[in-house]
Amino acid sequence: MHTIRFATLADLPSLRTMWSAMIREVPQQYPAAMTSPETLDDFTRQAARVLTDPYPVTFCLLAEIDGDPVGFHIFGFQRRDLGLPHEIVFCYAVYVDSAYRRTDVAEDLALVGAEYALAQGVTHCEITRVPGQAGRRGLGFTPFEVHSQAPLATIISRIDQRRQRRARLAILPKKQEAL
Amino acid sequence: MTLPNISVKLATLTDLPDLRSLWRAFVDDQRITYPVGVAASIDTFTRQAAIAMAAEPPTVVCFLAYQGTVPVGFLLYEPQTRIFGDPSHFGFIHYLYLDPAVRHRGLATMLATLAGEHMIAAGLSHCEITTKPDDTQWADLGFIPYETRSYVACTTALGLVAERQRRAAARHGNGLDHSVTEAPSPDAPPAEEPAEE
Repeated sequence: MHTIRFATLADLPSLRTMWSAMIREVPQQYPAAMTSPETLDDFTRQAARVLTDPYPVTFCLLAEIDGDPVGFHIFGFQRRDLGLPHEIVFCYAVYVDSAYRRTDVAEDLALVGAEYALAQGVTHCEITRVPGQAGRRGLGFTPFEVHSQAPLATIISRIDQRRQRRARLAILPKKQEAL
Repeated sequence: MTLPNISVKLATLTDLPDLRSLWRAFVDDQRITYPVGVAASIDTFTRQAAIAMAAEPPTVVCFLAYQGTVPVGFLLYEPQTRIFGDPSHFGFIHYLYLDPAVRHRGLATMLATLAGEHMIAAGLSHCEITTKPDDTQWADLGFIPYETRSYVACTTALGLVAERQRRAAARHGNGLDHSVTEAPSPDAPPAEEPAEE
């Protein structure tokens, strides 16, 4: 049977190991270098900062079986200035060791996070997923926005192509009239 | 056909009234279903735009398009940073809006060119945007979706998790309840959702 508790600074090595394992599983193309050692160090630094924050807005739940860490749930409260709800709980990551999936561990990590948010008066939860990941519609999640990216060099090049197309279309009718 | 009498300028604090009215038209045009009540946040938008444009250096860049003296569109972007992964610095386009009367005439392309060149001059290599899930008009400029954001009411999620656990307990417990069947684990893609790509 698993237990769930809030992680502390002493759990940093376990969190670092599990976060690294999770990132290797995510079929993420952008942003790049997510699996690099530098990014892993960035995560560890950020996690240390979050776990020692005297006024925390980001939290980490740790699932253990017989004292061994088997999963985590990182969530935090975010504010939106335009529109309602003003405050939401954002689920950054839920990860469960592959040996313990299809058990209640992930569900209980989600439950504890959601109940904690409700206890703080927060009514809505948001997540992001990368293309190829499940959308969690089974848990009631509804997509409401898509984040896209493009290299600026590509945008400028596509704009040139677009203008060339428009110029050709503008010339064509005149040529047909001339014929 | 190009538009006559078009000019584009970098917005300043004196342009806030024009920016405010264009933002209101943008929100009405978008018909956003979540978050709700965005249009009612117009004062917050105006205040934030004022703070961002008054900062030294400004934390947002806004191009305003006029036809004659009438404001007909704007593009507003913000240089942003991310903690994990590359690029760590990028330009994020918050808004691009054109009055319906001036659409499909190359003005959006003009604003995108100005913003793109401005970002490159600022040392940025990538541009990011957020759109509604069914909006594909940016694909033509090379934009590739990399993440989808979703929401749920916490009580809905709690109810659905409890339902899953009830079904699982019924399946694995001694007192079988044949009226229920096991729901998939949260780790598995939902059945109604085909795998992407």
